This record gives sequence, structure tokens and C-alpha cells, in this order.
Amino acid sequence: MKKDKKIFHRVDADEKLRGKALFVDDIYMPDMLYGRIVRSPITRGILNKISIPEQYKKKDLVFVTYKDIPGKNCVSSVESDLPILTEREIRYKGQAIALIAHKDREFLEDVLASLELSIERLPACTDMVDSLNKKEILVNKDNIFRRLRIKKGNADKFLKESYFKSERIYRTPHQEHLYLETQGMIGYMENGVLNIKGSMQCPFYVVEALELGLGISRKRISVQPTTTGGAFGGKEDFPSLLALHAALLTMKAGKPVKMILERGEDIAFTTKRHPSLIKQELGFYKEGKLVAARVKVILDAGAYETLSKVVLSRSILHAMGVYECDNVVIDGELVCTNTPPSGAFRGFGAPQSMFAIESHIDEISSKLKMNPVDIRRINIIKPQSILCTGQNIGNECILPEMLNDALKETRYITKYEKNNIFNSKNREMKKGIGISLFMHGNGFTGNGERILSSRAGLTLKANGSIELLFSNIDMGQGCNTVMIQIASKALQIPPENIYVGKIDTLSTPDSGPTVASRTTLIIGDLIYKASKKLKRILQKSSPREDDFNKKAGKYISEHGELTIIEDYRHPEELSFDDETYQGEAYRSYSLGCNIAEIEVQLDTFQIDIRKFHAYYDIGTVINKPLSEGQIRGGIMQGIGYAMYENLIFENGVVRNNSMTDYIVPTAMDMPQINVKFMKNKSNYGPYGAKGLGELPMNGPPAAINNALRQALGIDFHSIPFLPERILEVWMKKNE
Amino acid sequence: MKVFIPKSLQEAVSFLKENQNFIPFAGGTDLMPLLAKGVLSKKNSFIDLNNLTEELSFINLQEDGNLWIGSLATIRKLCENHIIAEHFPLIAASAINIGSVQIRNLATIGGNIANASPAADLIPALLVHDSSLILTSDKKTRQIDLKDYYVSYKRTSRKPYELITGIIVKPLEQGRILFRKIGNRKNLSLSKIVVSSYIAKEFETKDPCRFAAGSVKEIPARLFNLEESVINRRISESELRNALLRDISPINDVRSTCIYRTEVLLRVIRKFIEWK
Repeated sequence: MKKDKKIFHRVDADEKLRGKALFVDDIYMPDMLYGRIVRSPITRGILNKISIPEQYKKKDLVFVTYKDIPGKNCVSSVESDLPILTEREIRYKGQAIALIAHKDREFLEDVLASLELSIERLPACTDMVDSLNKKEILVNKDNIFRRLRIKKGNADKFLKESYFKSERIYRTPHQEHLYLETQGMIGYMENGVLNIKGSMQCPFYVVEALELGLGISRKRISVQPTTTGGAFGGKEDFPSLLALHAALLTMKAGKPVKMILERGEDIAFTTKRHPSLIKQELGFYKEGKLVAARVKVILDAGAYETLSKVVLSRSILHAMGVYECDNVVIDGELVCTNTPPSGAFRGFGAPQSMFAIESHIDEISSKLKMNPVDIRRINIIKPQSILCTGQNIGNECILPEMLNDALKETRYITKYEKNNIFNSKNREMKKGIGISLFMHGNGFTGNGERILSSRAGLTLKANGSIELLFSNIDMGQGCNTVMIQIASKALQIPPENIYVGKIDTLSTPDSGPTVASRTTLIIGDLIYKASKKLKRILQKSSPREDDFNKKAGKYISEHGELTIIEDYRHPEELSFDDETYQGEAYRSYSLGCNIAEIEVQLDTFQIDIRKFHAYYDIGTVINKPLSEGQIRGGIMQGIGYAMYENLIFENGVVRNNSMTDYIVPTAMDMPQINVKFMKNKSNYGPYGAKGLGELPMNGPPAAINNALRQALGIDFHSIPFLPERILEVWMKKNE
Repeated sequence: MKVFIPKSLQEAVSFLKENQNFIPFAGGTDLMPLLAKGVLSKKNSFIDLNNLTEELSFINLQEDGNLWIGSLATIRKLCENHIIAEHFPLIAASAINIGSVQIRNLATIGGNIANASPAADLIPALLVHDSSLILTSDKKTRQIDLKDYYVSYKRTSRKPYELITGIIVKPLEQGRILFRKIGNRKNLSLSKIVVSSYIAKEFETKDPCRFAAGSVKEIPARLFNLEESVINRRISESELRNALLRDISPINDVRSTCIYRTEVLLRVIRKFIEWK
């Protein structure tokens, strides 16, 4: 038992602290060229012609257009509608038109500045409201890419019969990932095999994209992720496009080609979090019981649909938050606008939904003259609650217990009452305390994991060490450490004997993408099972031997190295219908409770978070320091989303695409954060663990909004809560 | 890219006389981002002043109480200087709020003045101290009041052949001071509003108050109308507002709004004036 208490240090700490880890931009190859993307200067239009001025034509300039694409001109995704390079239609400013490469980077700048483009401009819709109003028709008949629906009971009937009804519209903006390392790829050919090295979350997504776009077999493609400096979802889908660009250039040039996005380019043209417009009608019985809900979630997919369907899917599945309601209808719509395609971002559609429902419930409590806690107690999910898809949450749902602990330990009720007294007397400063409850479904939605069929395992090497085999990326979250820890515990051998194998898609098993809070949960379980299997095999081969090294030595001398690969098996009791959205949408749900204590000075209107309390149920905590680190980072990203980050689009163009003007909170802005893990064990996941990565993103915006409600008596229906906005609303209210 | 690296001040100004297109380069913390953004490029020429650091980074308290600061004194040096900490707390507070540690290590006071950003954190404090600049050219040295130095957005009265070599900071009489920087976050931020103020203890003196602010018009602003209003004891909210509105002309930009800049500046200044 003592062993378990040992802190597992990050296995990547040494190489990163010493600057030894190689990021893609650290790699140089002989004869290497640099690649750049020729981007559309307009928001919407038709490309007629692109040509290079005479003086640049002969200077070894590599030039690629859609005509050079050997396979299908599209990036494989859930919906493969984004072209690799545009043929005629331009749907967003910055869309890739052509590619150029040369050994001299400054020369490329000159070429980019002097390219001759013949483009016909068309009027655009750069805001989702314009698209919904069909100001211009961009796609289909109504600018809607797709619709989804969840239905339970009879919402119409019970909304009519409810004692109290509330209707609100919530809006959330884009959010930029701002990973430390910008996007980058290197492509080169070697012995007839296309090699791609770069920063990414999902090496096999890149393989699929290359297969489809280049029309070559995956046996001739080797994708090798380099040390990845942060991602947050931003390196889930976009790297497929950049890898295709690097591949096309290297294939045409016959030389290695490196492509690294500058920060300004990265912020302006890569994927962002989906902006949302969420309309909610909630109906209550007199005592505060939520009886019916009609919700519409509209997400801005940007110019192409790409993977947005699954984001919308998660949005609507989280639209009711942590509340049980018998009569629900939730409609989801994906709308097209002339902005860069929206993509994956930590939370994947859930943060938008959670902000809306948690703000709304809190606002209603004051209308019903209840305190924010009582309305939640009546309505939150508890053991055996039925979610909107008909899924029974099971017995492991400890949300009521978590709420009680959080209220008691933070003295929420006392502080809430004290604040009211303070605010009635004080004219210089106001205080607020706000609560949010939230959850996050673990792993891919519905049948996603079944379809992914991940594979992972290990090799007992000739020298007795263990090499772990999986293709998920340690992008800073620490999954390599956790996998070693799981194997170490299962095999009962020291972690120093275990290492993570270098990923090469030609040899490493496909354990799926590094997304959806699934790595510890799904791949950790496969590693656990493979470790147990190895242990059994060795036990069988030398039943009377206790020492692992001796057992392993004996096995190797008799049979040689041993590789064990585990195939994912979906729990049989879980099923989901993709058409009706009924069934077990997620195997398990991680839960959270945030309480924000804030002060607002009435001269600058800046929100000062004095304390931030954070309670989580992530099942068994495998590595506490790493989990806490991820939570603190996630809370800061959530606070950034709520209070700081404001990506300014003007006519489809990002105006503040620099780290100077796109404001994220710094370490100096970090409030005191108290993190607490609830004791719980999940039925699914190694050692009873649940997912963690995205969960912390879901809580802060609503908790801060609800604290603001108490402090200022204002109900905000959108983020971010910039001081400029708070001041204007305050002035209007107190005129 | 052409770069000239003089070994002495004399060499620098003689060179500038003949090569007036060369941009003075000190810490580079404002120029490097412009190079990265493409506002400046390899087509521009620079005169690198870093060999002059020893000559021009003095901080001396004169017998008359004035503080002389060499233009190449880094912001970090200002932060660490005991005389400044003790006798010029407005300067100290402004300096420590500039950029980040890395920027303060490189950035110079002369660069902060020459860059002429309306958002420069140090300048309102220097304005409150009624500072003046020493401009040196090949054959001549002249002195100009800082309040007259700024002409229009990012334009100054420095001639292309002149270098800022020193800043003379006058002491304040006993009284209350205020420094407030309102940025988008606590560290690594550019000012949405920056304000420095002083009110003398003995209000009947000749020069009882000074106010200056950044990011509220196209140049760093001494708030003369506001000062006059305060001197005449017209300090009701509407009187202060009217005076302030004659001093400033804030804009909406990516960092903040006109309303916010006006309202918050007014509130911050009122609180300071009314403070007993």
C-alpha cells in the first residue's frame, strides 16, 4: 500500500526542463525547404485564376494548386467537406488557395506579397445571426449544415401546464486555444514512404487524411508525432490539413518541406471553439421542480462542417446540465458562416451548454424567490436518475453528496447571506458568491468508441523492460506518466522499467485520437488489461518464481520478446441509437461543483476572484498532482473564457490575432483555487477512474456569472464579462 | 538590413547627421514586435545604441533636487534604484508596472519616451513631475519640456538627427500621489488607462495639483483643464466630468472602449480627489 502513495513524477519532465525535447520546429533536415500557404484575401467569392509573376517562376519555387492533388480534394473528417486547396469557391478569409515552398523564407514573403489573384467577390455572412436570417445563402437552402434532436416525454404539453415559465437566450463567442507551440509539420519521402512529423493529437486522423487526399495506401505513410507543446483540441482536426499541405509540397519538390505557422496566422486561420446561440424555455411546478424544457442549441460551424456534428451532438447531450427533467425536447442546428471552420476545443460543445443552463437555473431561483441551492437540490441528478436520452445514471452518481460537501466546507449559505447585507450597505464595492454544477460525458459519444475499436498494449523487451504501445499523445497533460503508472501498478514492477514506445503509425497500434477525456479511461484500461495478461503469462511460464525479472528472463530465453495487444470491447450493457438519440450516450459522467467568491470594485468594474472552490468526481484519481495540475489549468482556461478572452472578428477577419491583444489570464491572474476530489469509483475505467481533461472547462463561466448576479443584481446572458460590458450594463441599470 | 553600431555618443550623433533615415534602437522591445509584424522590415536601417549604455544609463540626484536619468537606463534599473524608490514613488510605481520582467530588463526610459505610445506607462508620471528632455545632436544640445514633446499620434518634436540623451525629473512638494494602471490583466498587459496624479498638502501653493493620463487620447496627456477645475475647487461630479472631457478624446479599440476609458478615469480621479 505504501507504494501507492509514492508520487510519480512526470516522465517527460527532465527532457522538457533541460530543453532536450525536440519540437517540430527544432528539426532540420539537409536540403529542407520551407512551405507557406497562399490564403484567400477575401471572405467569400470565386477564385478565377492565380499566377506567379514571371520574375519568381524560375527561382526553384515550388508551387502547388488543387491540380496537384493526386487523391480527393478534401480533408477527411466526420463530414469531409473542407477542400485541401480551393478550386473555385472561397468561403472564408484565409482559406488555403495554393502552396509555395523554397529554401529562403524571406523570398517566400516576397512571393506571397506579389502573387496575382483573380477573384470575384461575393457578399458574405460572417455572423451566425445573419446566416440564420438567410441574409445570403451560403450552403443548402437555409445555411444549416445539419439538425439533431433529443426527445423525452411531452415538453409542449407540460410547458403549457407549468406554474412558472422562463425563456432566455444565451450566447457564447469563439475561443482560441493559444497552445504554446503553434501548428507545424515536416514532410519528406524516404524509400517510397511518405514521412510526416509534427505537432498533433491524433496521428491516425492524419494517416486517414493523407490516404484520402493523396490516394496512396497507409502502408506508404508514416506519421510520427513530435513533442507536442499544448493542443486543447486545436491539434485534433487542423493537423490533417497542414500535413496534407506539407505532403503535397514535399511530393512535388522531392525534398523535405517544413511548415510552421506564425502566431498571427495560427490565431487567425486555425480552428476555434464554436460560438453558440442557445435558446431555453424551462417550465417549473410551484415548489421549484423542473417539469419541462424546450431547448435549441445553434452552433456556428464556420465555413465548412468538418467535425461539427459530433460537437453539436455533445452540446445537446449536455444541454440539460445536471438536471433531471421528464419532458424534454432539445434541437440542435449547425449553421454555416464565412469564418474559419470551428473545431475541437476542450469541452467540445459542453461548456456552451453548461454556461447556459447553469446561468438560467440560477436566474430562475431568484424569480421563484428560492435560494440558488434549494432549486438545485430539488432538480439535480441523483442515483438512478434518468437522463434525457433515457440513460439511467446508475448508483455511482454522487452529485447530492458533492453539493453538500461543497456548501458545508465553503460556508456558502453564510457567505451568501453576509454578501447581501454587505452589498446593501457598501457603495464602492460589491461581493458575490456563485455556484455551478456540471458534468462531462466520458469518451466518445454513443457508439463512437465501438466504431473506433482502439488497440493498445505492450512488449516485453529482450532486456526485460516493458515498452508500452499506444498512439495517444502526451501533449502536456501527462498521459505517458499515467500509462506507465497504470502498467507499473498492474505488473507490480518499478516505473523505471517501463517506457512509452515512440509512435510511428506504420508500427504502433491505433489507439484512437487523444481527445474526449478518453485516454486514461479507454487506453489506460487497455494497458491495464495487457499488463494483467502479461503477468498471467509469465506466472504460467514460471509458477514458483516471485521475482518479475527472473520470470521475464526465463520467458525471453525460451520464447523471445512478447507483444500483447488488447482490443477494445464496448461494454455489452451499453447501447445507443444514433437516429433517435436514445440510450447510453456515455459510459460514465464526471461531475463537478465550482464556487466562485468575487468582488467587483465600482470604479474599474474588474472582477476580482478572491477564492475559487472546485469539487470533482473523476472516480479514482490515478495521479493526484497531474490531475490537480490539469484542473487548475482548466479552471484558468474557463476563467479566461468567462472574463478575458475576446476574439474580435470584423467581417470574418480576426483583428486581435496576437498574444498582445488576445488576452488570456496569466499566472499572476490566478486566484486562490481549492481543489477537492470526491471519493468514488467508476464501474468503467482502470482502477475505477473516469475522464478528467475537459471537465474543468465546464464550470467557471456559470459560477462567475452567478456570483456577478449576487454582486451587481445583473443577469448576464453571454460571455465574456469584460469590465467594459459590466460598466455599461451597470450604468444603464443605475441611470 | 543596415545597422550602424556607434562606439560613443559623439560618433552616434555625427553619423545621424548624415544618415537621418536610421532609426535609433535601444532595448528594442517596441521595435522587435514591429519587425515581426512587418510594420518595419529589412528595408529599414537602424542605429544600435547599446554601446552607449555606460555613458547614458546614469541616475543622479542633483543638488537642486532634480533627478537626472540617462536615456539608456533600463526600466529594471529604475525599479531597483533607491533614490527613485524613496523620492520619486510615482516613477517607481510606473516602472514596475511596465510589461514583464523580460521587457523591463531590456526596455529603456528613453525608448519608452521616444516610442511615443499614448499607452506608455511611464510618461504620465514623468508629466506629473514636470519633466524635461535633453536632446543631443551633432553640434547642439537642447532642452524641451516633456509636455511639449508630443505633437500628434506617435509623432514627436525630435528631429531625425537628434537623440534623447537624458530626462530631468523635478521633485514634487509634499502631498498625495496616485498611480493606477488599468490593463486587461494583472501582468503582461498594455494600459487601457494609466493615470498619475499629485495633490499638494498645502493647497495654497502655486502649483497645487497635477494630473496626467495615458491611453485616453492620441498622445500622453497632461490634464490641464482638470487641474484648473480642481484649483478653482470646482470638484462636483459634473464639473470634473466637463473638465476631463476637454482634456481627453478616448477611442474604441481592441483593448477597450471610449465610454470605459472616460468613466473609469473619472471615477478613479474623483476617488483620489475626495480621499481625505
